[in-house]
Amino acid sequence: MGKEVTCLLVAAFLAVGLLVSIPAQALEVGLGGEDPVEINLYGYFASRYEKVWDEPGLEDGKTVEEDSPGEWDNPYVNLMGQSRIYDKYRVYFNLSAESAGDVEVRNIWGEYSHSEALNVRIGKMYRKFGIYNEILDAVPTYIGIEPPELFDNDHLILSRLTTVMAWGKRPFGDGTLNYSLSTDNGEGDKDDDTFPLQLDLHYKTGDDKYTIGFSGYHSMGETGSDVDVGDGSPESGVLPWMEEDEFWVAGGYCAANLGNWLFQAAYWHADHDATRDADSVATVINNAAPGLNQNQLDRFLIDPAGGITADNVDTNGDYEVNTWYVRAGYSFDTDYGEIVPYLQWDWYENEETIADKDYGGDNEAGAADDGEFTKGTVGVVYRPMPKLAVKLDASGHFYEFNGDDEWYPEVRLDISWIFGL
Amino acid sequence: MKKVSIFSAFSIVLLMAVLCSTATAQDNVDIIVNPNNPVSTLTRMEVVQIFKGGKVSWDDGSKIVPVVQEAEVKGFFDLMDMSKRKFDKHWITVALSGGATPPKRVSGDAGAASYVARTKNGIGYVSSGASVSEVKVVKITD
Repeated sequence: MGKEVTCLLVAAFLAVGLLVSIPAQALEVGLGGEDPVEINLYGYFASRYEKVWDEPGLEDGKTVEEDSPGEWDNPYVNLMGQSRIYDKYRVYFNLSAESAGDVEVRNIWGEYSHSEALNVRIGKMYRKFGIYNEILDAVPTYIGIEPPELFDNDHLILSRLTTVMAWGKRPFGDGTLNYSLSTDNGEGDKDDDTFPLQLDLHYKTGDDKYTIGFSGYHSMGETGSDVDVGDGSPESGVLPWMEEDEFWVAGGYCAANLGNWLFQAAYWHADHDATRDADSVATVINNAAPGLNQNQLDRFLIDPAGGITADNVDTNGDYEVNTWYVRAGYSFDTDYGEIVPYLQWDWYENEETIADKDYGGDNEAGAADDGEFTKGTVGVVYRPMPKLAVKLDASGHFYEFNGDDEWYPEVRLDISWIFGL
Repeated sequence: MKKVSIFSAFSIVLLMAVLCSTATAQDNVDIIVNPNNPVSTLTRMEVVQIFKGGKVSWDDGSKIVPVVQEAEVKGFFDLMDMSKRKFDKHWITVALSGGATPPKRVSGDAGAASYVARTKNGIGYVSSGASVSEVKVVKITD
């Protein structure tokens, strides 16, 4: 009932805005150099290569190291378009096709702009959360290739998408206070009675040198996973073996643009009040590869030495997730283009996850004995022109595996070309 | 006599150096608005925010329509405190993230003045001293 009332209120607000604004703006048709309707199409092509060496695995209880074959995704394309209708309305879409395969509609939304202080957006959109959630598809434009762990597809802490968002900005001192409030359809909500809320509040100095902000999300009730056990990683932040899960995510972030330097940092915490589904957990334990480690079995089973049956599953699934990152880059503006070397350090812990991605885990924290890993990355972006970006970086993954401290290297290359802008 | 001459020469050089150092980016570029726009003064920060898409409305709530020149006008990018390359990259980031699309591009001072003259909420820039009687030049303060 809550969601239906909200949707009706928003639709009514937009309808009133439309009725009030169009007659006034229609009078301006033909005046000035600005067209009342403007349409822009643009996007980018990209190609990516990844290669991993010496990734630890288990064989007969012993640690073995394996090289993964290099993976070349060639090509993938993002097509974006937006249309401005008079001054007050905007429509945007973002289509993505990975490996020239199926087309995915990542974003499609309409927006009414009442003023700088109030804009309302409805559709399928990325929520304003931290520095990266809205810009992750703008791959050619930021330092780094992989997203911060908060938004890694293998272990999303919350869903990236939302359905209705009100946002705006107000002058505050020498800078601008930016705010947004959003809600969505409560992905995985089995009882259709949750009303998730998400808030972002951040301050930017007038010269855009400093940004500091806070983002938070609450499921506002018990929800479930958007995937079944065995169907891969969830996008909702709720693990597939949970019967129900009420959770919140909160954290802070900051960025500094000082001359040619760029610094970014963020910390996020998720708290899950969850109940495991006993049958689902038994399925996971019996089928997930390469099997659960002892810490994971100790969490999931009442008696770790007992049988793997639903009766022996500990249904109390409360757990926490923590992650933080720091990034730094320096821009060299040369006659041959822009060169940006960068460093990144990510840390992530999730005590509940497992290694098998098919069963909703991830092969980083889930592979670690204690659900924790760190990743250091060094890389460089070369932009011979603003529309072409070549990124090359290398990471070392560090974690405890089979009782020992292990690490393995990974190399990534990303080439992207922007069109239409 | 020689000492006076040397002193005079040094004073002239010093005076020229002082005068040159007080020349600002604003001396090389004029910010222009539609003649019907009531705005006569903008701070440098406001100009930066307008052309970066941070400030999107005039005080009366009408939408600001910025226009930039295709060729590089150095005084403008000095005012923005960023290179043309970084300016272009900024707008690419905004557009690829679902934000606004980059400002309209026109050719030369005449193109900028013509566009702003016929666009009620337009704002652009021309080389300082350019003949642009059809638009209003606003004063830029720090």
